Amino acid sequence: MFPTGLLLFVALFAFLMWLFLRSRTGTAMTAVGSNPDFARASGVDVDKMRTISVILSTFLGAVGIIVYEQSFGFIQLYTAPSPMVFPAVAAILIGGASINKASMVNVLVGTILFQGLLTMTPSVINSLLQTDMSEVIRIIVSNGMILYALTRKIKVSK
Amino acid sequence: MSAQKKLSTLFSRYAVVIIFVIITVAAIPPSGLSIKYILQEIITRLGRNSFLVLALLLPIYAGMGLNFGMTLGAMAGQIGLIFAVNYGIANWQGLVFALLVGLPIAVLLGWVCGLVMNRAKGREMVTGYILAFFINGIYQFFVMYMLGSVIPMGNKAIVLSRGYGIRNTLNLESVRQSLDNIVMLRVAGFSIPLVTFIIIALLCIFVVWFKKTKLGQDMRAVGQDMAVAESAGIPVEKTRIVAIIISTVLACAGQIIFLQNMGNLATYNAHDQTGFFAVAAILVGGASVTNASIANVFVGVMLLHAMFVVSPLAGQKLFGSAMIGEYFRQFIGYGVIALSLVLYAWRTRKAAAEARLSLRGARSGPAKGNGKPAAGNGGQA
Repeated sequence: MFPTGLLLFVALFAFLMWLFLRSRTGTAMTAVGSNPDFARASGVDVDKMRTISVILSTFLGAVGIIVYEQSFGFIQLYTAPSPMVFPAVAAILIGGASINKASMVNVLVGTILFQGLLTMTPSVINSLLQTDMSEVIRIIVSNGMILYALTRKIKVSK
Repeated sequence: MSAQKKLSTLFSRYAVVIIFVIITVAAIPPSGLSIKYILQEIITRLGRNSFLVLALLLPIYAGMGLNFGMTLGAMAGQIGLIFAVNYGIANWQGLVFALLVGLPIAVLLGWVCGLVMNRAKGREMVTGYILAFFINGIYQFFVMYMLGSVIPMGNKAIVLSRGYGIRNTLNLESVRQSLDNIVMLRVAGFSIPLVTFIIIALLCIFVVWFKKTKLGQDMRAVGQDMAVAESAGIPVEKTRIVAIIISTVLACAGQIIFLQNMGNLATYNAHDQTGFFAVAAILVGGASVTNASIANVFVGVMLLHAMFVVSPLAGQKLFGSAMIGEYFRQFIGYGVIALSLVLYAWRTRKAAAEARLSLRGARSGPAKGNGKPAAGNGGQA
């Protein structure tokens, strides 16, 4: 069993995102993230870039939940989208991103690591302690990662 | 400042309160509830919630924003109550016991919370929010796996049938309303839980007194400007930790008061919305991220809960479904928090822009404003 179509689709979107980050708009966006004052001084419309980034993020979120739910085969209308946020944030952070810097590599490495962690740790613990603690581990790991990112000292580079 | 500008500043300062009063008053007639019923409900809910909301005050004074980390204290209180039920300690003695068990846990959690927030200066609110989720994981681990296995539980009725872990819902019959019922005043048809209100009043006096002490003054100074406070010799980080510890301990006591009034404990999610609704209440009362008073707390609790009492029935009458009122409640809670945070950020940016303009002088500033010529400080802009 190898979900070729799914992987190709993800690869396509990863490639498009990678391309976008190297485009004119993408570069400007990265500049805003690293140093808003510097970006404004070089003539980038900071507010516009922030808006575009949030719009793109929301759009990809919409595509993402469709991809996610088609592989499950059912949808939960009322509460399904809300718990999607923290695992996604935790995954990109575990991949090495910080709150103002991230790359495609962070996304891919992070997803593999985070999902690996979530699927493997419970089975290890289950065989050790004979209990199912996957839910608790998921809460602690994903929120712990976010907390770690928030408390990391941000280096101000000039 | 022109009159119109003053009015718009006033509106942006109290926008949340004004919008809220309008919605609540408009929802009373369609709900069909009598004013007496609504008043009684508000009195009950004042006793139930005020203590929790008062716990938010000190971190605001210390410039740490709205303390979403108060959920940690709520968890400590719940652990205390679980033990009180386990040992079968009834009535107000049970509550005191729960407080004694919860207190050290709350101090420890508050200290951890303060340390974490000191590492995330300027992002205290979101950090507290995530920290509450994180500690929630540890709380669930403790209650679901440790209680009954590592820590023996004598009362088998509250333990899951598999032998360890606490049941989903805990009946607090033994301590139910034991604080409220010590002296229940009946005035003109209203029941007033006197002791609960006395405790809340004592806490208010404590807050007022605390603001005048050395530590309280230090807290205000830290809240104004951390750098200035640091150079004035105030131990900034320590003061911030103390503010959070006091807030967490108060939240612990507040959650115990809240739960004794409710009478049952949803073991795994009673604390989920504690911080959220407390923050919504104080914001509805007209507080902002940097400014709050005791009056804000009481106005907020009354308004928010008047809305909660009215909205399900108004939803029923207007749209034919009580669930719409329920959704409305969620929507209002999140809406109020989002609106106040956005207004706060907007005001801060506007104040910064105005400060820049005043530096630049009258030439490039708004012509109708202060028409004084820029006397020598034009070059600083």
